This record gives sequence, C-alpha cells and structure tokens, in this order.
Amino acid sequence: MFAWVQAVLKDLRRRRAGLLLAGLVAIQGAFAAPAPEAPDAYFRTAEGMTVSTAELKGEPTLLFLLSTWCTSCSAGVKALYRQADQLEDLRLRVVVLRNYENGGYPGMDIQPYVEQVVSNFVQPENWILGQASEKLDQAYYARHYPDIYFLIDANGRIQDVSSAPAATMDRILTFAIDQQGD
Amino acid sequence: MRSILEALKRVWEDAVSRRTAILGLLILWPLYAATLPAAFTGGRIGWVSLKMLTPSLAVLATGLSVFLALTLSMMVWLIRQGYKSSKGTAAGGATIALLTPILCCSPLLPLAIGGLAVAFPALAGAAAGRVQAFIAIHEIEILSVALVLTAVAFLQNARRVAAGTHCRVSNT
Repeated sequence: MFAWVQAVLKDLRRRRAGLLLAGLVAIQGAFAAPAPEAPDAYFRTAEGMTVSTAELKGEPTLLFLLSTWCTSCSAGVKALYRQADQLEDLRLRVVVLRNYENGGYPGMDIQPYVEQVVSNFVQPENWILGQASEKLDQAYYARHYPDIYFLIDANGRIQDVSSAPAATMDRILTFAIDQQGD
Repeated sequence: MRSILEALKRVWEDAVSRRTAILGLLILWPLYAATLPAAFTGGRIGWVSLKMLTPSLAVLATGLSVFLALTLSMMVWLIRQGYKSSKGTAAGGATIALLTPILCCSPLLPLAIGGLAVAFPALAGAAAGRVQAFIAIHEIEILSVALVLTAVAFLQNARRVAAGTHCRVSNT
C-alpha cells in the first residue's frame, strides 16, 4: 500500500515537472517567436510620390503615425527633430505619416504641420513625411490611437510599438543602436 | 475680500485645518505638476511628464493645488465646527484637471470607446478621435474651467467659514 502511494506521488511529481517544462518551453517559444512582419500598405509622401511600406526594407525604420491635433504628437516630432543628427548617424530612417483623415478630425497637411511645430525645419535626408492611406490606417492603426510608432528592422519586422517619442526617446535610440550591431 | 481673509485667518488658527492645507499642498502640487504635462507624454505620468512641465502649466498646477488645498482645509474646518461644506464644485474642478491631459492623447479613450462599441456598435469608428481632438484643441480652455471651478469652490467655502463664525450661537 505504501509503495503504491509512493509510486503515485512519484508519478505526480514527474507529471508536474513535465507540465512545468512544457510551460517553460511554451513561454520560451512565445518569447522567441519571430517578430511580426510589418504589413504592406502604401502612403503618399509630401512630394506626392506613392510609396509602399515594403520598400522600407533594407534599413531600420521608425514609422510614426500621428494626428496633427494631438499634443503628444507635436512633442514627439520636436523630440525626433532634436535627435535628428544622432538618428541619422545611427542610420535610422524616420517616416512621419499623418493618419488617414487625421484620426477623425480635420487638420493641416503633414508638411505645413511639421514646419509649424519645428521652427526653421530643414528636412533631414533620412526623413520621409507623408499621408497614410486608408489601407495603411487599417493595417497599422486599427485601434485608433492618435499617436503610435512602430520600430521596424531592416528585414521588415516590427520589433517594438510605442507612443509619444518625446517620452520614449530612449527606446528609439536603444533600437537604433541595437540595429547597428545586427 | 475681507470675508475671505477672515475665513483664511480663522482656518489657519485651527491646527488640524492648517495641517490639512499644508499636507494638501504638498500632495496636490506634485500631483498636478506631473499630471498636467501628460498630454505631451501620451498619458504617461511621473518623472517623464514632470520633466516636461512648462512655466504656464506650473502656474496652472500651483493655482489648482493652492485653491484645492485651501478648500480642503476649509472643508475640514466646517465639518469640525458642525457646518456643511461645498464639495461638488471642488471635486468637479479637480477631476477635470486630472482627466484632461490623460484623455487627450493616450490610448485610454480609444480603448474605452472600443470596449463600449462591443455593446453599442454605433460608437465604433473615429468617435474617439473626435472627442480626443476636441480635448486636445481646447485643452487650455478646459483646464481654465477647472481652475475657475476650484476658485469658485474656494470662495463658496470661504463664505461659509466667514458666515459660520458670524452665526455661531454661544452656549454661555
């Protein structure tokens, strides 16, 4: 009888250990899963060119979707421009797009908006300003956040999603530095 | 004006009310100084937002916290004396000032409306954007209304404190 109880307990411990291991593998698997691929959608640049997000592959990119009425977006554009030299040195492409229909409220176009927010704005070479298409809006902006950015690696995979660059610049710089090492 | 000064003097003479005012100011000023710039940080509150405090927001935080701390101390004085205090206006001003910077640019409102849209599909779409845009565009006006409400609450309670002392009936 005692041996039977011991055998049951041993079996339970083994099962528990097995379950624990399976859980750990599942967790590791979840964390080790490849980052999601950036959806392919197009946007129109301030110069009037139609560009696909697939064309952004090859260089790490910050894709910033903003609404011109949003206070944290303006602070974000200012903060990005303050770091423009460093971001250019780190070869991070900065794509600033106005949300489709400006996030549900009318507002100015992206170029005059950025020029209004940043005094004496001179567009850095690694910056693209543009207008998101409805498809891009649906693919990247499904939750209707007025201020959201995606950090996309050179392989076109989204490595991080956050908001308010003015408050999360460290995150952007860390990503850019990490991409240099990769 | 004289009644306000009289009320302040009366409240300051009471140790508990005086401590309430000081403690209230010590808690409320950092709270508003960190919350009001949250519009720049997408709703993040803390050191990150405190670093973005502008002079105009600092003045607003000071105004709100001074009025609210004094109103709280007057409420304490009135309650201790057995009088009724005016709470609604102060609570309204305090809440509006706290919510406005958070609601304008954070995911809070889109998430809340998204949740409500499950029950009320008509709310889906860009409704959150319109509300957030309204708050963002009129933020200064909304915060000014909050400041006026706290000032009104302060005046209402000051008048009650002043009237209370005049109307007190002596037992002797």
